Amino acid sequence: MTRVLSALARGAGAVLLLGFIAAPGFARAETPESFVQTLGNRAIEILQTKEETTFSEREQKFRTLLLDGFDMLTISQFVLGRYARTLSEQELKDYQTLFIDFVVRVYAVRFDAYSGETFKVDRVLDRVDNDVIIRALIERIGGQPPVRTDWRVRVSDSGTMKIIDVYVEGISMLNTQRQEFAAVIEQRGIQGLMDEMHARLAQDISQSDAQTAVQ
Amino acid sequence: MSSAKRLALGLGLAAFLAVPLSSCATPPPEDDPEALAAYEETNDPLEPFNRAVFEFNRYFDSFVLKPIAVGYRTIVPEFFRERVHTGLQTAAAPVVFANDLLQGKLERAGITFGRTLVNLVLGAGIFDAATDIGLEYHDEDFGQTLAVWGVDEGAYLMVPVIGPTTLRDGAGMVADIFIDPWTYIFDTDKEVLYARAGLTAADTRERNLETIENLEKTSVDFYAAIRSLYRQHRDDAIRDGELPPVPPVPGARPSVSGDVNPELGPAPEEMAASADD
Repeated sequence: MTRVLSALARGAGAVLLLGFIAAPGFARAETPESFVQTLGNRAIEILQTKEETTFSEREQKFRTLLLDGFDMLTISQFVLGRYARTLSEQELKDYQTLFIDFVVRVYAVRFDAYSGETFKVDRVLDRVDNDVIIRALIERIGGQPPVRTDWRVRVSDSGTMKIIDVYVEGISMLNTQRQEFAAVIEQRGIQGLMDEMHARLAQDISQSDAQTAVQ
Repeated sequence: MSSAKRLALGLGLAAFLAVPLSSCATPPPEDDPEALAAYEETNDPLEPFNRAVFEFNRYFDSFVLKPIAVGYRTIVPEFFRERVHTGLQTAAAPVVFANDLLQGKLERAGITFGRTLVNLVLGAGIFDAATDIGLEYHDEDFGQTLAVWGVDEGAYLMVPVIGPTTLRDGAGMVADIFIDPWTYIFDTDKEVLYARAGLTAADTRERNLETIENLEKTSVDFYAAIRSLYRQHRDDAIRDGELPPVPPVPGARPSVSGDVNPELGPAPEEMAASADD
């Protein structure tokens, strides 16, 4: 009997202790880790519906996900680099609207190449100013090595979190986009870049010759 | 091929690459520091020539490499393609091992040695048992070794058929041929070496069919995208997967309050200045 009682007491103590440890976690609703994990889970869910949805349906869901989780204004201005200042207020706005459509399309296409893999936050890699960099691994089916992704999350003073960059196997998407844009702007100006973005959006992406040829 | 012949070939290649110096990209004027910084970051003085070679490579790819890769995927079942892939890794292990050592990375050298031994004993060199026990594959080459020794990457180069490289990585590629014991073992049976090169090309291209196609479809400048990806991929390999220092990214609006006003961008000067750091 005493044994049961002491076990109960110990149990109660454990519950109490757990309560204390967990309390701060509840107070701060979200950590950068859980923020990235939640976004990753949502992405995997979109991929899992591949069988019963069309690409444009998935693209639409992916758009919501991107707008929720990413700081599109910061990203869109950064990738213009030093050319951003040459734009008028109105031109910048037009560009940003186009950029969001463009990025949704680009990453929806690239992301659609994956299928129901699991997404697992691994650890915090680094903290720089207001940014936290989180490493997450995408486990692949069929024994292929996991894909290493690093998420740069910007935490505002009010606690809002937005992603500003993703590294895939060490390759920064932000950096790649900026360098690619710079090459087009140098040759054909910002209008040339925007024309090219429109052209990409107008392209038929539903067909993939490599994918239709085999598999 | 004798060493002398190989040297002559290397010199010939170098001369071929040096010829089109007349088609250099014009560096920006000295009084435009931002443009100059961008020019140095790109580090592609032969860009017009490189772009021409890139166009040639795209034709070569669409008529030769890609059809071979698609055919390889269609004809050879995945199980056997995996065996080929592991077999090629096993065959390339001496070069990786040597470069691990040349970079002074003893632990990584041990991993390369261990996994090759395990795969040879348990998997005849074509089954990857080592990964399951935590001995994962990594890549090293002499280009990376040079980088670890402090050699700058040098200008970006697009080599016909072979693809993107830099002066440093190109030199590394030649050095790896000399490091590779198979070069000497099959010195009289060159066909074996050619067959391995062909298989490596088919294997690599097949594994990247979707990735390259998606990239081509979604990039506004395919050449610039490949150049950026190549550089970053090499940097990642040199750092063995450690993340580089992140660049400063100025916010596009005040982060003080949660209230979002897209009208309020940063002061353009301030943003552009730090974006080009």
